[in-house]
Amino acid sequence: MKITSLSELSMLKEQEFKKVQLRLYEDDYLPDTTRQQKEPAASEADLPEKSDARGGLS
Amino acid sequence: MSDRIKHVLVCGGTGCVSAESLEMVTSFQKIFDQKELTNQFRVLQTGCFGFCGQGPIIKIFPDDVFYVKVTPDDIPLIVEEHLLQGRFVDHLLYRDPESEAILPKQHDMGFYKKQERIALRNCGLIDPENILEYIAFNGYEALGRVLTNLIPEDVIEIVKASGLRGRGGGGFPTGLKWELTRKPVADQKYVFCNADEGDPGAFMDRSILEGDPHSVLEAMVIAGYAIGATQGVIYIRAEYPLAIKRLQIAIGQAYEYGFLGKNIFDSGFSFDVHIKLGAGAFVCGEETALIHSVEGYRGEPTKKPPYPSIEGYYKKPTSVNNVETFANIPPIILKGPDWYNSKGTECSNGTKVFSLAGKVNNIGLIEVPMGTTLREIIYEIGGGIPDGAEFKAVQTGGPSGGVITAADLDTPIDYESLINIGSMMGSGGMIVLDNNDCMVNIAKFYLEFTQDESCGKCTPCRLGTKRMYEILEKITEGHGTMDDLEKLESLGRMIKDSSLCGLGQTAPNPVLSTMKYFYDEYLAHINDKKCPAGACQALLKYQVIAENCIGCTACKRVCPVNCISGGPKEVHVIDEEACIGCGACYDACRFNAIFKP
Repeated sequence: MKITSLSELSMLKEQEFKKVQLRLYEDDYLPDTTRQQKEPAASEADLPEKSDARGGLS
Repeated sequence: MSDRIKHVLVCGGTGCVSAESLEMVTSFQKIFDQKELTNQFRVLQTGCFGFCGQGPIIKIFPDDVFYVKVTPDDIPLIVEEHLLQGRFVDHLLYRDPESEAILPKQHDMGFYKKQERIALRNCGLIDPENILEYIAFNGYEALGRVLTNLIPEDVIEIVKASGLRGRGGGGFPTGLKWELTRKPVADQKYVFCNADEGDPGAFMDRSILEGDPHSVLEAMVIAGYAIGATQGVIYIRAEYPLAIKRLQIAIGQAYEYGFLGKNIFDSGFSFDVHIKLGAGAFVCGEETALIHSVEGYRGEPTKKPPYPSIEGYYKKPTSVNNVETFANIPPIILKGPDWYNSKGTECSNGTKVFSLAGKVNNIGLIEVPMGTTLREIIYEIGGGIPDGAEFKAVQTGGPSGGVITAADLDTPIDYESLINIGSMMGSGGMIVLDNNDCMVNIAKFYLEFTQDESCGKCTPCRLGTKRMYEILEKITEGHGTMDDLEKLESLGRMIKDSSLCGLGQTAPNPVLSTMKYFYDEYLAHINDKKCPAGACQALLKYQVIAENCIGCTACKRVCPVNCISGGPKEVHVIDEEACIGCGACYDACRFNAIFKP
């Protein structure tokens, strides 16, 4: 199974998260990335502004 | 809702695996199969929970119950009592050594309370051999965002703004290293992951690779995109077989899902990773020696500059980053640089993983924000010194570092503060010492290690460390002179100033540091021919306490050199000249009749 886009990854994540979400609870020592699941997902706007050019690869 | 009712997580880190934790996974599965419980319970191995002194560890969700020191024999009981009857198995619950309170939940334990896990975020939470579990917890999302939304310069700016510094010991700003590697024009560039963790007592990188290998792979691809590289190499010592196995599985899965290989996320960017096994030479943790080893040459360092970011693997620009450094990258991308640099101190952002070992109650792997004090680490997380002994010092930075004494217990830990008090961060090894540890002997131990691991290329390191070791040996055997102390110090300074690489430049640190803070102990060995800690065997002179001796002959019978005289019901006598200080008589005596100096 090859993931080619963020939306495909997002769908897969949603599907897999259902299988493991019982391991989460609100705690300070738990990873922020997991607690984030209980908060609204970060939007594209949270990321630094996209530059015009993609930039060439060496 | 979950498709399973309860998840049984069994620690699959090397420590717990050596105590049969994988057999426990099999045992759970067998019982679930036999009793047809597979639709109610799921068992899986995870990476290290960190609390290694309490292993093997089993955690059950959603109950959030944490069982410690579990044996294979306990598994049927856990199934019957906890899983089927809903009752705790009390004798497997953690008991706080101070309050004696039983604490079933991980977050109530002192060991975990002050920790903040970023690099270790998935260790003890996911099955490291299952990419889907990594994906479930945001895995490869940072890579997707980078490849579809950001140009390489943006990625470098994010990492620079986060303040992340190299966690392998040098503390060089990661974003700056990526920028320096991106700048040169070259037909090929490389991303190297330095997993050659060699400090005695350090196991941070091993645990990350065993518990969360995909986080390192994901970060390597991000680094490749940022610097313009399409090839990655993970240099890992062959003595980490479990980490290697999980890395190999992770790499295979990453290719299968398209996170490695051609045209990742349909972005046009391609990246490949392969593993190179090292033979376990400490010096190969130094980046130029590491690169030479991967090239097939002897693992010897070369003079810098040129730095690998300009001329690295086969003279091409190469960014060498440590495992823990990489593990921080995906959360930084997902949550932003401000989130990361809000943690820690002004010059050292984020968190740091330490392996806490030695004379401390709670041995294990911890991750704390930079700026946490040693007192918090040793007494609150580490639970203090065992057996009522007195804290003496803590060795940070492994064989390259120095000792920190009680006077500096309240110093907030970061790169700069540790150097200011004569030690260094290193990769994160932290060995706690108590009043039974001889500081001269400790210095000798580390010097023996570094002189053995010296690659031999430069004279100051090759011969200087050997001469220093010989002097320390002389002192611990009671033959040292005051001249030797002067020689030790001047040799140490010379080796630091003139060695080619970091190994030699830092090898004298444990000696110079112990001489600075524990000079009295050196003097006692030289002038009084005594080891105040009672650790240097050659200086131990055991004596019989006549009023306690009943002449039972127990000591005489165990003495390996027959240096104890006296018949039954007679007071015994130890011939101090013939005594080798082995302590067998002391251990055998049941009447406190042997005096141990």
